[in-house]
Amino acid sequence: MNGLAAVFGLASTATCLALMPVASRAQVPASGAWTVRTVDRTSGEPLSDVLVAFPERLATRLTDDDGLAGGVGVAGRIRVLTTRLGYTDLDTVIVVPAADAVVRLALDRAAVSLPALTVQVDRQMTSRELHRLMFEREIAVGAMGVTQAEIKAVPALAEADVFRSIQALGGVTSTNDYTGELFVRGGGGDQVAVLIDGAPVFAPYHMYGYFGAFNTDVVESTEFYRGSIPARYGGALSGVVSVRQRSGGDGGVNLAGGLSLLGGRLAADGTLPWGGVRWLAAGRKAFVSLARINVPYSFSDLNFGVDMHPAEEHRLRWSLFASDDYYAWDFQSAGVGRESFSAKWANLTSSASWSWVRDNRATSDVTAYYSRYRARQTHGGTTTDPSTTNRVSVAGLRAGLTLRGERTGARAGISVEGGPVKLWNSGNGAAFEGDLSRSYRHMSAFAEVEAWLGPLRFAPGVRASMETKSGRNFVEPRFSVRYRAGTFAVSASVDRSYQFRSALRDAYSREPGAPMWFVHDENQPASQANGASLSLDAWRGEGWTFAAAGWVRRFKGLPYWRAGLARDPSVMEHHDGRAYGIDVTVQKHTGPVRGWVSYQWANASLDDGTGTTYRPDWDRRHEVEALVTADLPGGFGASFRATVGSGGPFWYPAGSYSNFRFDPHQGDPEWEGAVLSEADVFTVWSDVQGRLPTYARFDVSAKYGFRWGAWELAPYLSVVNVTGRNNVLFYQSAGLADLGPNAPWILTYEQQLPFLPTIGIDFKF
Amino acid sequence: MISSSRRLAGLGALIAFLWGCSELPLQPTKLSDQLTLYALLNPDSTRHLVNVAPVDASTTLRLAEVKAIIHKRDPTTKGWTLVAEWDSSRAAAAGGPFYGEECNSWVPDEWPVSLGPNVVGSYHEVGRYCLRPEFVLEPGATYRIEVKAAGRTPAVGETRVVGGFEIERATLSSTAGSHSLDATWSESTAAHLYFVGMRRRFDVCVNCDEAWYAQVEGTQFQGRVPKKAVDIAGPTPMLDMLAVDRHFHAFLTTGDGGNLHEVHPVQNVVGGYGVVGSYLHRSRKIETGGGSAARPAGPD
Repeated sequence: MNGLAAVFGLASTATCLALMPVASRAQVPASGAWTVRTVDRTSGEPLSDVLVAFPERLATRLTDDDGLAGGVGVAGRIRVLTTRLGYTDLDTVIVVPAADAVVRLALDRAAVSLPALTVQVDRQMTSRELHRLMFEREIAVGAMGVTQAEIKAVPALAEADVFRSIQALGGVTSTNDYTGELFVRGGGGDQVAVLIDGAPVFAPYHMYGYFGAFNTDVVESTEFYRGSIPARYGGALSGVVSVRQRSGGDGGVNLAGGLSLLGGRLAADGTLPWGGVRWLAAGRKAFVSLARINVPYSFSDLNFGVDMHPAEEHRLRWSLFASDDYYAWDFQSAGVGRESFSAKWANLTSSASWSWVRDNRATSDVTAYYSRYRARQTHGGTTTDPSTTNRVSVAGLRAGLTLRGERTGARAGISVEGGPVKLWNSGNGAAFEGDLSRSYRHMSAFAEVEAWLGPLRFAPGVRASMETKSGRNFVEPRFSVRYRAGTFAVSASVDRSYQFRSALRDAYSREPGAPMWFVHDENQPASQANGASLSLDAWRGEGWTFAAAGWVRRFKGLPYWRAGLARDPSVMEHHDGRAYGIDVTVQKHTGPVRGWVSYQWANASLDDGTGTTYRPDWDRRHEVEALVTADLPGGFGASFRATVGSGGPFWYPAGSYSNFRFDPHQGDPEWEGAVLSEADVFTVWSDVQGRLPTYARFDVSAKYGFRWGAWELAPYLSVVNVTGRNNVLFYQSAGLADLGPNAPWILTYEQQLPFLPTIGIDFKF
Repeated sequence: MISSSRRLAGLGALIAFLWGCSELPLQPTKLSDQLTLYALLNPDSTRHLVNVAPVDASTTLRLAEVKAIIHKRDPTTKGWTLVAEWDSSRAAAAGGPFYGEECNSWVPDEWPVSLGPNVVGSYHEVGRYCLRPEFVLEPGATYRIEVKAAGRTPAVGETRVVGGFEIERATLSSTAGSHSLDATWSESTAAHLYFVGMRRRFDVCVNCDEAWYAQVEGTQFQGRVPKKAVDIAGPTPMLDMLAVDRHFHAFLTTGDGGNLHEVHPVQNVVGGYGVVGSYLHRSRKIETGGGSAARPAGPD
């Protein structure tokens, strides 16, 4: 068995070759058999190592040094697909020629999108194609791709959403209906790095996390790594979401967009008449006024992109993403009077990359990026009210080189990233007390090697980095191996990751809104995760895939508060923890009815350093997700999503106390000229946790697509929580004052999303 | 082969589950055994408020169970000298250094009895005590106050007592709708800083506006005052000042219960919650003059 089909660096356009029986190289055509010859269309030179597939016969071949591979079939028509790094994929149907004939297949050169292991994906790629592509490219357990179609298939409130769709996948947990934050492999939400075209996005959410900030019309593909992260990625313990923005369209101007109760969005793309420059521009604007909570809220986001090939082997690419959120809430509070809470945050990221496909065995890329994040949350309506401010300005430069041979490959790169990460409070009652402003400069190098040894594919890698300001060094080994036979494969990964940039998190009281990032200083440990995972992947033809993974992970040095007192940096704790679990996914990719069913069992716990073990709020023990998408006659379509899971943990309250304010006023009966008044009541939490009741939600959406002149229109209706089940968001105590002494605490609850229908329309022109 | 009736039953069970409500209510399984301790030492007074209450407001703290101990640090030996001690056996003794009483709120205000169903925690009218020790404080000295109660974790905190000070001048000048306050005062020993504010006057406070105040480290304030603060100061505006030690200042200026999130205040009580601090209150009528708009308005 020769596995050159999956040689390292197989970064090419979509194919549906990879999971067929492993290709054998350069089978000598038997006498009388016909032959395929692959050549470079420009030079006419024969092309070796081209993967040639005959999907109807479940057969694959690799061309030899003369570009030859044996054909399959003796008569009639047969579909042929080819793929090779640096060339456009070919998908064609040919008439089986006579014996001994040679069918010439000319392949067009195409730049490989880089970073070296990033795939260039057609936005219409099917889930099976992307699934296969990612499987072939990544040995690490848990790597997967998400297509635009899959994103849009998940019923959503108002609009399709990358993060909501990822939450519906196996191995991913959410804590409640109101957040799109991703909790992966037992890790916290800030342990998942979110990148767009290689640049980090620090708050990739709108509306306090409910909506993802990425406009699905401009998302070409999404790569998602769960737990085991390739060595080329750093700075995240539990996952990476790498979103690739579309690079533009072909021909004239194309429009796509939509209107929903959330707002409107519009994307335009095309190709400039000179230089073949592809461009994209998109925007989204929302004004939300939810009657239920009377929250005036607005957000917007913008995307721009340019893609060009100044020379045949070179590719230049620039992209920009910007988002902005503003929220202001005025409310009346018993005994205190008018209060207000406002928050605003904004992302701005931009990246420019240069890719060079030197030849079929060497590609390189250089990416420069910048990411800025501004967040401010104010409790009160004036500039003197207590506020927490976060300002992040990070710039980075990354360069990589990919080399590949017949049975081995290597990939290496260096990067430098740094900038100020400022976080401070002002006034009374900010999210935390103090100042955590720091800057950092992180230099990293990574190397990944891949080699075939018989049926085994080894992929050792290592990432070494140095934080120059503190002088600390980190070494992160990553190792994966895969055994593949027939229609199944077993993969295993062990890995270590470090993270030195975290978001504030209070294990007792969750701070809503924009994440507040800070950099660990030299006195704080870098967070660390060590993990091992094992997966079994199997597939049946083009239609079905099966994936099961088991994982165990240990965490060290996670910066949390759990003291239940002031969130002062001096009392920040560093918790250790462990997590383990399994997840199983069965997915049907083809046919009028598609979808997946996944089950996850997970167990996550943290230790606060005093021997007290507790459950983080993402410790949802069991979770079943089912998504079904059906293409119905007459242009109709429907999607159904069902989620049933264990309730998350919560802390029981154990008491309360109040604080005071300086408040000079007259009229005090006991203390003439009183200058203090009681202000707020604070919860004292017990060290006892309970679990919320079982969570269950059923969402549906229906769409009708039709043409109206040059327009493609698709109005839709989505209903979230169609049964209106009262899923508990959190408990709170109530009624003590009325009940008298020695009365029991009564816990009431806040409901998660109620029955909530939304309508909208998508269009293309 | 599953029969149709069983399928229907299963489907019905699933629908019932999805439609079902979450079970409520729940009862906490463990309540805090800690105490809240608010002790503010005022060198102007020989009676000092020491307020003790259970953190778990659903249980009653009996006065007979409460024990309080006050120590003073010797500035030369750095050792602690017992100033006063009180427990249940001494409670009955007439003329004891403490007497206890139940109190709703040791700092009277307009806090409603019922907080409504949406506020975490609340107070009982029973089990919260204002102990009023009587002794003379030494400004600049450090005191340690410890309270104990049967079956509960002791709570203890320390403070350095601030010294006396006097407001020397307070003048409000108004010009074209702009108001400026000029105030000076003598220095208070051990004061971390001073709160300087104009007293609000109101007959009934419903959704009151926040009081205006400034925090000053020195012994002088010269600055603008918001028009609203002047408006609600009444026809005879008063200057209220508070000299505070650093613990009380931190407690007063941090923390926010909020409706969306909770930020606990900075505290110095070990083993419990609250603050042990020191303060001194001074007030003085503000002289008004200058400009055409030197007219403090009436109450809201």
